[in-house]
Amino acid sequence: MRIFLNLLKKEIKDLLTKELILSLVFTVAFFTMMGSIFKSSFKEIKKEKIKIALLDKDKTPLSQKLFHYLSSFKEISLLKIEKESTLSAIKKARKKGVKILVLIPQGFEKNFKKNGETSIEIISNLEKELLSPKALGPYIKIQTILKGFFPKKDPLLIKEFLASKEKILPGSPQILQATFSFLSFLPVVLIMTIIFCGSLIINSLAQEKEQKTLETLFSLPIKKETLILAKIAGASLVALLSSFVLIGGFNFYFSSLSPEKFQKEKNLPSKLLEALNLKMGPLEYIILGLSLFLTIFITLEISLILGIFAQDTKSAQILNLPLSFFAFLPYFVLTFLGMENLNIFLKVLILVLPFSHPVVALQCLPFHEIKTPFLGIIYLLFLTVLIFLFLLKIFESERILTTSFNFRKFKFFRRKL
Amino acid sequence: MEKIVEISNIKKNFGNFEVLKGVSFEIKKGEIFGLIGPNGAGKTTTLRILTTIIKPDSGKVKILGYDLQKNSYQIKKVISYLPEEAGAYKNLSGKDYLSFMAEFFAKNKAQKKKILERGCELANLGKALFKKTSTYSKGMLRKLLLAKSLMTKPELAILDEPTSGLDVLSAIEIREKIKSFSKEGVSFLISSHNMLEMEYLCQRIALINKGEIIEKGSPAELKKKYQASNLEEVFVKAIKK
Repeated sequence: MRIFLNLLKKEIKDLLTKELILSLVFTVAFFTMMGSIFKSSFKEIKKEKIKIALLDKDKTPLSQKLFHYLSSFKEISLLKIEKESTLSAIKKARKKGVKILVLIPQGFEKNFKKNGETSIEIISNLEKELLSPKALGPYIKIQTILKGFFPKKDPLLIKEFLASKEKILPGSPQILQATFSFLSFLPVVLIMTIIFCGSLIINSLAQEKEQKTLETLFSLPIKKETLILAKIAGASLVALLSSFVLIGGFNFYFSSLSPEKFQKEKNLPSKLLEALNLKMGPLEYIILGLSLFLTIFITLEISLILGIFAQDTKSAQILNLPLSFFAFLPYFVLTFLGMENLNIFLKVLILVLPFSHPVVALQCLPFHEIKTPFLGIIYLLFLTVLIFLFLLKIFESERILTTSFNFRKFKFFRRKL
Repeated sequence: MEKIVEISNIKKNFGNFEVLKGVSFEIKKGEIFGLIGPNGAGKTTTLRILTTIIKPDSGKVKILGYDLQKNSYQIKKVISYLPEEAGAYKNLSGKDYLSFMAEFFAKNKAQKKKILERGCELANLGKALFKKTSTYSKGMLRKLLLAKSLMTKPELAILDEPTSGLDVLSAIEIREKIKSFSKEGVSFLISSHNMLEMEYLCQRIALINKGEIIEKGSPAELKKKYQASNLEEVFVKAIKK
């Protein structure tokens, strides 16, 4: 037992490194912070009423009854629009910040009395917020409420439409989200690439330290910027290759999950995007590509800085953990909360993080919103140069050979030579 | 004789720890110069400064007339360095490692071929040269790294504990190689705490202790001055002085 305990003590000491403890502390702090941010944001969302506009083209006692029925719900803020065409009613609602229009068509009461069945239309305003899973909440809620109008049986057929500035097309937020499923998996691929190439480069530097090749490398006639760029390019190429494999795999996975009608008719999503004017053109693709490239480049630069503090490959993997969390943060926040629901502190935090910008670009570019992604690229470019200069300064100094992290003093120090 | 290295009054601190307190010496062309001292005396720091890996806080260093602060890239082209605990890339074979290193010094393919041939000959590892360096013993690895350091025929080879951890036969082989390259005009700065080896190898030595050069000269001169039979005795008497 004494021998076992002796071995156990050694194993724990070996595994419980200062880097691991630091990463655990960081993880706890990260989740606590994220938890409180999500909590406060969800509270704010819960407090918000569902805003719907109502256009009554039937003007019968039954349609009036439906209006009063909808008005009776405390969680609904109802805007009644009178004597307008459907398109102008949508424009009017849009101006007042209302994104869902419930249209009671002519013959609503007549059809019910004649056939025992009738229909109603829900028209959703086409905007990028509709891609967020959060957007489905009010939409599903209003459908449930409408179904409850006829409590005994279900004679109500709900027809769903999407309205762009110029036209109204059959479709729902669910169909739109399924069409845009690539938007949800591309950030995942990006995150995985960030984590993967980050770990590659941290490990590469840690390996140089572990194999004792770094000192020799530094004594060779190599310019420091060449060394940095070669390390980044090497990791980028491997990351690029792995990204293609990942995209292929994810594409197959997502196509198997997409609605059956999409699987039967392969061009349907493309047709829908074209009809809604949501297809990205060459300019949008160039902006997206630049945003992705700069984000990966910055990741590699940051990883290289983290690699300086790694003493071996084990500590390198642990140092990669905080980077992974920061890569995930914008994806979760922007996908599940949406930029418009964030408080100012979180908005700034998200925009400061380089990993946010490709996600923002992916949300804006299909809607031909170029300004925000373009500003993002300028910021990323500035950050790339700034970090590169900082990296060059570290590489030109002896810190790369002499720096490690002092957990006790909680400051960077140099080992005695 | 032409001076290859001129170091005057270099100082280096790490935090509050004064590693070098004003080190000065020079090395002539084709000379094997030894830096002798106990662990922590400042030998490795001095060597790292000369290889431009770390910068001195003050003092002047000139290698082949190039100023260390201003012309570090040019200096790196004419020197080679063998760190005490150096390793090689484990995924490369011995030959691939030498080829990778030759690329940094060769001006064209023909020159690279010549450097590589010299490297393979110096390493003298036979078929093992085509095996991955991860399979090498410590002695084989040290031979490979020494071959890497000498294959370019540098103006100055800086070797930190070149025979550390090697068996007698390998150590003798390495010492002979150093002597033969010195005859061809390569200057050497060798650091070691193996004073008997240094006595055999070096034309001149400097004794370093606690960041200061306490004595300089040829082994014969120093033995005579301190009336000692070997350099170990010289060192003991010099630090008591």
